[in-house]
Amino acid sequence: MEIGKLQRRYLDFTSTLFHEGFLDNQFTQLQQLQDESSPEFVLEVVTLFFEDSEKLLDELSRTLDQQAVDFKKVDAHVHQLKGSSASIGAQRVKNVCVAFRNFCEEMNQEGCLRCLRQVRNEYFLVKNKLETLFALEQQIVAAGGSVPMMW
Amino acid sequence: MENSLHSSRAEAFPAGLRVLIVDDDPTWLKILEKMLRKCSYEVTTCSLAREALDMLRGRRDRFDIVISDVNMPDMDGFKLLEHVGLEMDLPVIMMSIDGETSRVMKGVQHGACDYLLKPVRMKELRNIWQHVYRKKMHELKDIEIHGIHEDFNILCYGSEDPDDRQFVARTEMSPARKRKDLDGKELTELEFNDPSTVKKARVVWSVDLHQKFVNAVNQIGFEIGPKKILDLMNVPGLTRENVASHLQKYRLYLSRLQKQNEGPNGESRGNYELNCSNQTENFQTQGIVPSVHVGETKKAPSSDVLLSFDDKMSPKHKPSLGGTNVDREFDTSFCQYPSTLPPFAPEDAKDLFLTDYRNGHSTAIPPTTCKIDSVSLQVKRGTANAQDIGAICKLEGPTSLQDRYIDDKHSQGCFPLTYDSLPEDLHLCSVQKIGCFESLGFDGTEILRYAEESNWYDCPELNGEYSYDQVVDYSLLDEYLFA
Repeated sequence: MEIGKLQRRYLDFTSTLFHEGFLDNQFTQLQQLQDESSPEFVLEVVTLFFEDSEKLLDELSRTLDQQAVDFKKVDAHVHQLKGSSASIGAQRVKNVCVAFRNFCEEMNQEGCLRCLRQVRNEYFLVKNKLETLFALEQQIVAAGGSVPMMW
Repeated sequence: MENSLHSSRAEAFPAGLRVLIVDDDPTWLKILEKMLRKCSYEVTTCSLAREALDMLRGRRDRFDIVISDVNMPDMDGFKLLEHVGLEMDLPVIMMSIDGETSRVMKGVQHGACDYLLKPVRMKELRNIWQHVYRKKMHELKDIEIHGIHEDFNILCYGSEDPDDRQFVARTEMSPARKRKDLDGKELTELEFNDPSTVKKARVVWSVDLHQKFVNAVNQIGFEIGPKKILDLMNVPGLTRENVASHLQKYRLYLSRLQKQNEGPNGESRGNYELNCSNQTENFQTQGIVPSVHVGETKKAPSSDVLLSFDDKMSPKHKPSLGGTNVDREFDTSFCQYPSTLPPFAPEDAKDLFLTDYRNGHSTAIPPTTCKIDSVSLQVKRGTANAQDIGAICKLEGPTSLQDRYIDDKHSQGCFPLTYDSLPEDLHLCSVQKIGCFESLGFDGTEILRYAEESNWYDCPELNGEYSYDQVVDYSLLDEYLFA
């Protein structure tokens, strides 16, 4: 595919991500932070996010799987996940975390489990989207073009 | 070398601002680091609060400002905030994804100079230099009005109504007070600002620090003044003002102990001691004086003294706990009599202290100073009687304070008598004063917790709210007194 087309596809894709609420302005901030001194900045940050989140999700599964659920612990993890997702602008993940914390406060195990499922879904969705985004970027660069930015 | 570094940094200000970022979230750490670097700041990252503290302690002048997340696994961000404020006196900015008013309030109460909500924007970080600058300005002003301050302190503390609320406000309100002083040199009640505006770093009077203080005071006495004491102590980072306020508390503490001495007769001294040893009392929690840790073991005098400022009354003032509490109540009551007591003038304190010194007590306030023996010796005016262990302080000659409350003729200052002579309304008055603590906006509980963590005292319950119900049960008090 020629560069122009790749770039347009990239822009369309990015635009959709924002419109569908997968990503918010924080992601744009990250893109703006990227510069010559850290050309892979966004990728690095997002990778950190992936690692951290998957650890948290595992922890959450473990904690909620107990007979006697330690809701304080669950809440702490969710709070972390909320913070993490906010850091890269993973809006939908963050929103589920908000609901998740409410269930923790209510000590509602059923509610928490539902939220866990939901947050997992959202996480893997956004992970998938971001990986696609990076792949598109690589394609453009490989084709000799430069990655267009939204702002 | 230092100078040139400093000056070059100063010229480039705010570029080169040395920031320490503490956040357990690796994603945020990376993002914030990048943002700060883009602001031309010098960034150091840290994912553990303890690590951060070590770094800060390692080189006190290594950083200009600290930014920390509120929720961290190894230590509460507020705790870190307090540590930094107390030990290093650096501006600290708190961050959190949680923007609830109560949390923000907590940050402010603990001394945060700002509270940022995540996601943090570049523009917010760009402006953090103002906090550093502001602090520097205040420090300069402080140096300028040093002399005025000292006189003022003595004036105020010596002769003013040591209303507890005001007292605490005064000692805690350093920056506000300084500002006021500088503005108009108006030495009026301007000092009694709303405690909730406090953000000045507070000195934590650790055991060692207090020991140094006591030694210094022993050497030169009260009258010389905080500056000399400060010099003698030779503690870096400690200001004359810290010493001054500590000194006042100490004086009041001694005066209180003096009152206490007029308590039970000599024989019961022993009991009193025993009782003391069962209690863990905290003068500190009475908001005025350093902590007198009446530990379970008769530890070395210096080991338990003193804590950071605190405004809450100890909920452990339960009459059921025996003599100590009685005296504590009594003690408390006296502490609360400012409006009716003649002011405790500095000279008195000096006498008290020097007496103690003459007696060879190297520490003015051993923790078991509830052992009124040593205290009584301390407070004896003009007599050094080391053998008088167990005997109540003989009041040689009139003292402004004692005259009103203690019958000179009673060499074994009968506690009941003295206490008895206190009018009911004074008791009430004390309750009022106790109430003052409670109503203080300044939250002393955090400091308590902080001190707890450091094992400076063993009162786990001290972080409770002071309630009238728990304390000062006068009927029980009487029972103990007159039993």
